[in-house]
Amino acid sequence: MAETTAKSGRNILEIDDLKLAYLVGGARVKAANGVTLRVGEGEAVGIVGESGSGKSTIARTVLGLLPEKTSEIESGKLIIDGRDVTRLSPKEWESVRGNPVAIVFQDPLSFLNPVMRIGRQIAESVEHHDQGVKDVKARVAELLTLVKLPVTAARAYPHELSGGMRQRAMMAIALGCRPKLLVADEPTTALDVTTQSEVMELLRDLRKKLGMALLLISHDLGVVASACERIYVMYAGRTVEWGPTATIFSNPSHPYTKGLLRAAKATRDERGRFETIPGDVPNLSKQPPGCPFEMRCPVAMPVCKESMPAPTDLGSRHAVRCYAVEAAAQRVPASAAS
Amino acid sequence: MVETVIGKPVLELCKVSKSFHRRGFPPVTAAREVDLHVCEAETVALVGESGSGKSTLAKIALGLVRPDAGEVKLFGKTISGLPMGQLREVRTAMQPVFQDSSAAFNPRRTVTQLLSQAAIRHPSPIGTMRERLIILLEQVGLRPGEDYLGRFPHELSGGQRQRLSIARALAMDPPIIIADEPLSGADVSIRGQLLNLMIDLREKRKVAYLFITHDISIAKAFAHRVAVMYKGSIVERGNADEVLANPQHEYTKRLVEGSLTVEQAEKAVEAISHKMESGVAAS
Ligand SMILES: Nc1ncnc2c1ncn2[C@@H]1O[C@H](COP(=O)(O)OP(=O)(O)OP(=O)(O)O)[C@@H](O)[C@H]1O
Ligand SMILES: Nc1ncnc2c1ncn2[C@@H]1O[C@H](COP(=O)(O)OP(=O)(O)OP(=O)(O)O)[C@@H](O)[C@H]1O
Ligand SMILES: [Mg+2]
Ligand SMILES: [Mg+2]
Repeated sequence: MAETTAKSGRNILEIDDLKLAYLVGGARVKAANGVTLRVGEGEAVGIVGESGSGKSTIARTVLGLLPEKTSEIESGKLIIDGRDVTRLSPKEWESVRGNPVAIVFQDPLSFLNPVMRIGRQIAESVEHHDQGVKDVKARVAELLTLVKLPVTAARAYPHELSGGMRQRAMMAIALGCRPKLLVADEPTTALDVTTQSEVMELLRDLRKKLGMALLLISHDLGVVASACERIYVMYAGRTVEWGPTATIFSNPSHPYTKGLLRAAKATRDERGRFETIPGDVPNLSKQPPGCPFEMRCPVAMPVCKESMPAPTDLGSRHAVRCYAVEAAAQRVPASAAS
Repeated sequence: MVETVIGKPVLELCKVSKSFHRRGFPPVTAAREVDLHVCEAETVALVGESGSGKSTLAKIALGLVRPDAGEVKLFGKTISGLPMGQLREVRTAMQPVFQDSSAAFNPRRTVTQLLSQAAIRHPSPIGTMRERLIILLEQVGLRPGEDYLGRFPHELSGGQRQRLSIARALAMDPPIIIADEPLSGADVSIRGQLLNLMIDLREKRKVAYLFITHDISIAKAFAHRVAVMYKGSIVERGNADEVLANPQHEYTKRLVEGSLTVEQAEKAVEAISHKMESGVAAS
C-alpha cells in the first residue's frame, strides 16, 4: 500500500479502510466506504472532495461524534496518538475529545452554546484541557487575540458576532484545549480573503510553535494548497488520490481530481455557463461494486464497473485508485514507481 | 462579462443606519447611511471584510433587524417600520438564504415538510407534490431526490443543507432573493450548477439577487454590479467588471489582490514543486 507516514515516523492519526453507514429510514448511507488516511505528528494534511463525499463524517469519526443510534462503524480501524479508538464508548471518548484532538466545525451555530458568552465557552475548554493554566481569564484574552478577535468579544453571545467572527471564536475554543491534532472543517468558508489569509497564517504559526498537526477539510483548493503539505482527495466515501500538495496540483492523476481542478476556475464558457463536472453524484445508499466515479468518468473501462481498484503507487508518496492510471503505469514500467 | 440590466428597482435601501450598543462595549456601527438598490433581473454582489456589516444589511432588508434610521422599500413601497403582521407578506416576496444553514431550519421538520409550503407556490404546478419536491431537490443537485425527502436537516452534509435552503428560496418563486454566502459550502462542481440555475431564473423569471459573497471571482462572473463594504459603509460601488478590474479604494484593492485564484495557487505550487524536484535531484 502506498501509504505514507510522518517525517518523525510517528502518526497522530491513522485511519485504515474505514467503512461506516448512517441509518436513515430503511437505508444505509455509506458515508465512508474505504477511507485510508494518515496524519503525522506536526503534519498538515488536507481533505478535498465534493459536497456530501464524507469529509465531515471523517471529522466526526475522529472526534467520536457520530450519532450513536443512527450510525454504525462496519469495519476498519481508527488509531489516535497510538491508541485504538475504533470502538470507544461515549464516556471513553471524553478522554480524546479536546485533547489530543480538537475540532473547528463547519457550522459554528450548531456547535456554540447560544446562551453562554464566548469568553466563558473558551474558559471552559481551557479549564478542562489545559490545567497548567493558572490565570484562565488572561489565557482567554490571549486566545482571542491569537485569532484576531477583540478582547471585548469575550462578553458577546454567539448571535452578536458576525459569521466570520464566530468561526474564529470557535477556533479559540479549540486551541484552548492545546490539541496535538486540530481538525478544521471548512474553517474559513465564510471569511473574506484578507481575514482568511490571517487565519491561515495563524494556523501555520501555531503549528510551528506548538508542533500541532492539522487535518484541514475544505472544498477550497486554494486554502488547502496554501496550508497543507499533503492532500487526500475524497469521492463518494473513499479516498481516491493522495500525495504531496505540489504533486496533486502539478500532476493530478485521478480523473475526478482533474475535473476538480478544471472546475475550480469559476469561468464561464461561450454560452455563459459555469463549468461543472458533468454527471450525477453517486447514491451513497446504493453504491455499485465498482469505482463510484465510473458513470461520470471520461476514461472509464469495463473493469471499472466490476470492482474498486487498489491504490497504484506513483512514487514520491503519490498514489491513486484508478484502473486507467494503473493500466498506464503498467504499460510504462515506470522508473517513477518506487 | 455580465451584461447590464436596466429595470425597475425591486429593493431599495435608503440611508440605512444601524449601531449596536451594549453596556460595557464600544458601540459597533454595522451600517452607516447605506444606499443600495437592486433592480428586476439584476444581481448586486455585496463584498467586504468579515464584520463589515454585510449580514446586518441583509437582515435589515428582510425586516429581521430594525434600522436606527433610513428606509427599506420594496417595489417603491416603504416596508421598514411596518407592523409584524404585514411584514409576513413582504417576507414571502424576499426570500433569504442565510449564512449558517444549521440555524436556518426547524430541526424537527423533515425535508418534505420544510419544502412543501414553498412548493405549493412553485411556478409550474404540475404533477403531484412529491414529484415537485423531487424536481426541486434535484435542481440543486440533491440526487436522487427521493432519498432526501424523509431526512431531517441534521442528516444532511453542510453543503447539502445549504442547497436545501437555496431550494426553499427558489421554490417560492420570489421577485428577489437575498443570499448570504449561499455557495460557501458548495464544491466547485455544485457551485457551477447552482450559479447556472440562478442565471436561468434571472433570465426566465427576472429574479433579482442581493448576493453576499467573499469570493471575488464569483462576484465578477455572476453579478452586474458590486458594492464593497468596509466598517459599515459602502466605500466603492459600480459595474462589477470595472470595480474589480480597477479597484480605487484601498480595501477593495487588498480584497482583489488577496483573492488567491486557482491559477495563482497553481503557479505557487508549481514554484514549490520545482524547488522540491531540484532538491530531490540534488540529494
Ligand atoms: N445582534 C448583535 N448585537 C451586537 N452586535 C452585533 C449584532 N449583530 C451584529 N453585530 C456586530 O455588527 C458587526 C457587523 O456584523 P455582520 O454580521 O453584519 O458582519 P458581516 O459583514 O456579515 O461579517 P462576516 O463576513 O464575518 O459574516 C460585527 O462587529 C458584529 O459583531
Ligand atoms: N446523520 C446523518 N444521517 C444520514 N445521512 C447523513 C448524516 N450525516 C451525513 N449524512 C450523509 O452522509 C454523506 C456524507 O456527509 P458529510 O457531512 O460527511 O459530507 P461532506 O463531505 O462533509 O459534505 P459538505 O462538503 O457538503 O459538508 C452525505 O451524503 C450526507 O447526506
Ligand atoms: Mg462537511
Ligand atoms: Mg455575515
